[in-house]
Amino acid sequence: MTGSKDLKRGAGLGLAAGVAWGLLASLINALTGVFPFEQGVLHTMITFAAGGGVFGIVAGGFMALVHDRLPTRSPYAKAVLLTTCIWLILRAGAGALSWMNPLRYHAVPSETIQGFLLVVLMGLILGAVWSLGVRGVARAG
Amino acid sequence: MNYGKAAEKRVDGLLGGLVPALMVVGMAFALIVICYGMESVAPGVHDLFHDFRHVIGMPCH
Repeated sequence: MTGSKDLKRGAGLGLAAGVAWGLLASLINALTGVFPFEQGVLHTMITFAAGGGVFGIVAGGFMALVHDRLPTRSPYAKAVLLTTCIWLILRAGAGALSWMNPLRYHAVPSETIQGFLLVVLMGLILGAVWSLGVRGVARAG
Repeated sequence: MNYGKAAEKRVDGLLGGLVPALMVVGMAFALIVICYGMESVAPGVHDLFHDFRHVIGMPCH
């Protein structure tokens, strides 16, 4: 996958995976109780679906770009590697902001651990959606 | 001016590749704005995605 059509397709697959992940992440957090929600259920569902969708588009787009260059063969491992890298880059930037302004950006270890596990889950979902998408293309073509 | 079909095809191909690439770059920027709650870029984004940011492990107040 490297062309513009593939980029669109990757972003589309990422969007589907990201929306599903966002909704699942809100459900998992409700079960673990790591962060007590401050917003209503509808607001939470919409923002998590939107936030997950944005994350998914970025992950899917990058997956389409670097899919062939990643070291592993499994789409699951590739997607987990990619989503984890994106999250680590974001988290490193957030860490720098936290160091500069600890009151504004206050890090909570339990949320960080949950976030890391959730991003691994995002990779697994993207890998599953990617496999289904590739199989669909193979069947159609 | 008529540059011919080959040139038109090349421009279409370039734009066709540029638009999805810009979309992904734009989304990457949106992700940064959401994850860091950058109010100066998008007023209201901090409160809107406050819970999402906490749940995915990004530092917040």
